[in-house]
Amino acid sequence: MADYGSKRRKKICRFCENKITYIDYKDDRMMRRFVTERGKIVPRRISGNCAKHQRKLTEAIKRGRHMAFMAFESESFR
Amino acid sequence: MRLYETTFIVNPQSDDAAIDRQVSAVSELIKNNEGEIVKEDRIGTRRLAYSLAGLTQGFYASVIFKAPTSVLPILERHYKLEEPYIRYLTIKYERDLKELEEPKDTAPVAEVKKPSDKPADKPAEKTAEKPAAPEAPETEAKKEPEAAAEETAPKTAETPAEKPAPEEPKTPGSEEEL
Repeated sequence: MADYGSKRRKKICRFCENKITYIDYKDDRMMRRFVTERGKIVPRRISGNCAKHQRKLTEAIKRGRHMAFMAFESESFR
Repeated sequence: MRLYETTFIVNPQSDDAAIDRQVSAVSELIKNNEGEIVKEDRIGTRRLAYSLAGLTQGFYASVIFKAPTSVLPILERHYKLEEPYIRYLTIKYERDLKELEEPKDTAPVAEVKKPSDKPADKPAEKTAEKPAAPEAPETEAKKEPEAAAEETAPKTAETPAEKPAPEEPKTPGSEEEL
């Protein structure tokens, strides 16, 4: 892609790849993959999600937080 | 009539019968207000990600229903007045209803169920069948994305560490200018 890091491979949106149209806020195990240890939502540029799915994912994560499926923040990693 | 999904957490410290009553109370309330239950799912007791009302566990249940908008304030009032409900969330159900039934490829029953899905405005007999059936498909559907996510997951863990590097060269440059 850019000049530096010539071997950077293009990231593919995992939701597009698997043809997922709905992201369930109750599926915390899936959502956990898109959240840092601290509980922050991983940005799109790192996770490689497409804009559409990132939007749905953030919505789902926020709903999940409200329903205590996900933590708002955690310091358990010290 | 719109499709909604309401999920709520009931205090698990009350006895099973009481929990059961709280869950069916929601369904009853919807039915009594011209609503119609599409699916009732008792997720069960699980750990809360953070403590709520001094509890570390909660009994989760969710109800997918079709109802006029007038039901929502009534439902919300119910949640607020009854103490055992510690959290609730009612949202528009955006998922295609077919998805609830679809992954049931293994069972030939799927073909029989589909027609019952469309004329959903009909009596409660048909909705009564549903809650039991679509449970299996849901769990199946969940497994797929998980498995796929697991394969690619390590990448996300690595990339954050890589990223900050390209940004660093900028700061020395700006210092020289000063």
